[in-house]
Amino acid sequence: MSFELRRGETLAIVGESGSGKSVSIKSIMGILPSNAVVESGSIEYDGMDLTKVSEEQFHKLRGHRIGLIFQDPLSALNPIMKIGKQITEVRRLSGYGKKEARARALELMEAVGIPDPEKRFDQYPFQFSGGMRQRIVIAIALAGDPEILICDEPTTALDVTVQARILELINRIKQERGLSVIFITHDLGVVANVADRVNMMYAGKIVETGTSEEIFLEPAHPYTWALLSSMPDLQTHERLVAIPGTPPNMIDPPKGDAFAARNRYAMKIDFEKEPPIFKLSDTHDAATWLLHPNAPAVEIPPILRERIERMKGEMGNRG
Amino acid sequence: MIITDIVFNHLDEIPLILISILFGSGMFSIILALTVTGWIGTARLIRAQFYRFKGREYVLAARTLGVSDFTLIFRHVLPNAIGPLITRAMIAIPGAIFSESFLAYIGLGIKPPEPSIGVLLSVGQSVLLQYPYQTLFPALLISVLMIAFNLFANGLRDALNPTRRGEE
Amino acid sequence: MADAEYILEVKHLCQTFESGRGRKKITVKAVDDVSFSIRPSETFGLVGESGCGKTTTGRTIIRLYDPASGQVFFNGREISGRMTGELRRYLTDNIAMIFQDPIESLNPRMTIEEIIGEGLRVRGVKDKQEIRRRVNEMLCKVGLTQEHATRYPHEFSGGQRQRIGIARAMITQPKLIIADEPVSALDVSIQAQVINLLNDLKEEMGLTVLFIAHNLSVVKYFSDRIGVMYFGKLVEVARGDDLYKKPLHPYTRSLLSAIPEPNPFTERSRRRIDYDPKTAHDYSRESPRMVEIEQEHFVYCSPSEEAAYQKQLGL
Repeated sequence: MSFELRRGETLAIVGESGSGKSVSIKSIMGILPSNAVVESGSIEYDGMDLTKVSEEQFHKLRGHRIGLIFQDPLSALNPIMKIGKQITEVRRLSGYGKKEARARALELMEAVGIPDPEKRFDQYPFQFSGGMRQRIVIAIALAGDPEILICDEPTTALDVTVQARILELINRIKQERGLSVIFITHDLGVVANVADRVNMMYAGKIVETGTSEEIFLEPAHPYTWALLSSMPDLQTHERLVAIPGTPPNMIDPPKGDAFAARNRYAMKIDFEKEPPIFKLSDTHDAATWLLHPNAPAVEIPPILRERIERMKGEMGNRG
Repeated sequence: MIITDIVFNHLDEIPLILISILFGSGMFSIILALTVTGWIGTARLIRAQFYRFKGREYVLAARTLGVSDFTLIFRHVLPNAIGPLITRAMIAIPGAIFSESFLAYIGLGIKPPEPSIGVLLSVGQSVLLQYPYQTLFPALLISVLMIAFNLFANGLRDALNPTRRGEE
Repeated sequence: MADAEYILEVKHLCQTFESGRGRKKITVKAVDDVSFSIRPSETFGLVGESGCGKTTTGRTIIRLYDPASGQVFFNGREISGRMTGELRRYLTDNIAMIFQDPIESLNPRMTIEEIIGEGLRVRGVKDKQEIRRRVNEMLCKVGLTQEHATRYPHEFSGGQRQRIGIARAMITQPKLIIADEPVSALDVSIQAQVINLLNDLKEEMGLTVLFIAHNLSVVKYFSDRIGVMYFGKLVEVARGDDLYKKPLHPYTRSLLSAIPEPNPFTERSRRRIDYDPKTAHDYSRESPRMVEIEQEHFVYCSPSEEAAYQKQLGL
């Protein structure tokens, strides 16, 4: 698997649980559990290969160049440490004075929308609501002035109205600070909100990659189709197209295309040979045999076609 | 933390000693001394375990099906709560042996010539330098007993759990 | 007397929880004066954010909790009164519940056959063959096979477990199913399977469903009418399309404005509406109550708000 993140863009990695999205992020951060091995390939950051750097260098990278936001804000925070201290920790570690770090933390708390930062500085995580905790986690991630922000399902545990606010916050911070963001999620609605480019992952592989418009308006991989048409939106009335079966067990991956067994468009070759990547445009790739010149033409699911038509209509209305 | 551990572990022995002094030595006072305090921890554990499991969704689900309280307790809560209880019961056995030995050792429990590990240790200690094996073997035995019961408890707990069945 | 038009009627239901003791004791109103009714074979969605009391409402109806006050009627019979063996039996014969967590909601020490068959055994079905036959029948209905009957829950995936939970609820052929977040713990690709299954069973068995969830898109898709809850109160009840097209209560509008849709164009121009009950309403002079503002569309509002809403609807 390979992908690149450009400066100042938001890249969404979409997949279900077990599709390998979190693992790939953990290997970027160098926090893989000890039973995992980076088998081959490299992770380059500003020209530096991250699979080869020492633990010590990695330590510096984490927190300073790369900030991380986890799904569950409660477990990401130390419950018995004042939040002010947790935010200043990174700064203090890089040798800043106490006063300076505090001023900076207050500024960050202000920036992520925690009201009354002076007062809140000396409170503990349990005194905050879920949304506020996630704001604290974001403040901590920003404390080291990172260039890359990695968000691992940051809003899955939150209510929709809180989620909307956190997404707005992440979008705003990204703009203000010129951050690059990797956003991991399974919620295509969230993807549409934040992403410039999207990587669809299935069973540890990227099956389709493209700009947000390309993925939502011209999806090419049957898995993308299936995922898009399996969730109702507020205007859906027709029967949902469910993806049959369950994701494959990665301990014993199937032969050929991993999605073949659940794919209603699967052809014989899908069970035999893994599809190569077909280029659709400069930014749009998909790994499916359906794009092979010899493949039969297939219709995308009607429910999805209608939705795309509707989207195009809305786009036209807006000019 | 070390201080709390020490105090906590020796609190049990105070009523033990008091009862032994009050009722004199002998089998009856030993049994009384061990049972008077021994049930408290287990009772608390059972209560805690039941509280933990009675709010589980499958217990709620069984309640919505109209399952009787008896079935709820013995089919839904107890089998799931029993793991720590078994472990505790199994550890209580070597615990009791240990307490008895302790009492015998300080001369409050069973007196020689009645046999007990504590008695053996106590007698053996007085001739430790001449016949060290007289202390060594009772000591070894009590250690082996402790480990054996612990392993037995773990095995039993896993054997009763279907999710662990067939695992090594 | 209760109306015969409705299968379930909830009237002024309140539920409180107490925490702390003595002077520190605080009473939390989890459900505060909630009233709604469900017609036979209808799906009523209850939507709201975590802690708004939607789960408590469902659990109080099926009497996992005793209501603090208010009444619940099922087919005209009050089911919120003193619990007797007979009432418990009436409840369990007619109402069943599907739970959220596919892992938590199945007893790990019972086989699938025991889990699904429990409802039958409770009802005095003694014949093992009969239980087996009906469990197998139910397994087929939810898309599992007979071979699954002797296995334990941990051998199944999340989606399959949720099917087992559905089979357990359906085997006694209840008239009303309370589905508490039945898909929110599942993977996206599995959710649609379970939603479709629920829809099929609903049609086939003519079920009435109280569907509780936080995901408005799913609730809207699944339900005929929707009730929106906010901090223990029901603030708006309407048909799904009405709620979506002409939401009136500011909280409903805020909720609708926050739902991300898989459409990059609407997402980029999204205008989120904030809801703050302190500034949105002035209830110092007039007190709010539930008003039917147009047919089948109820809003919790004060008289002056009512006038404003009516104007908004062009009535």
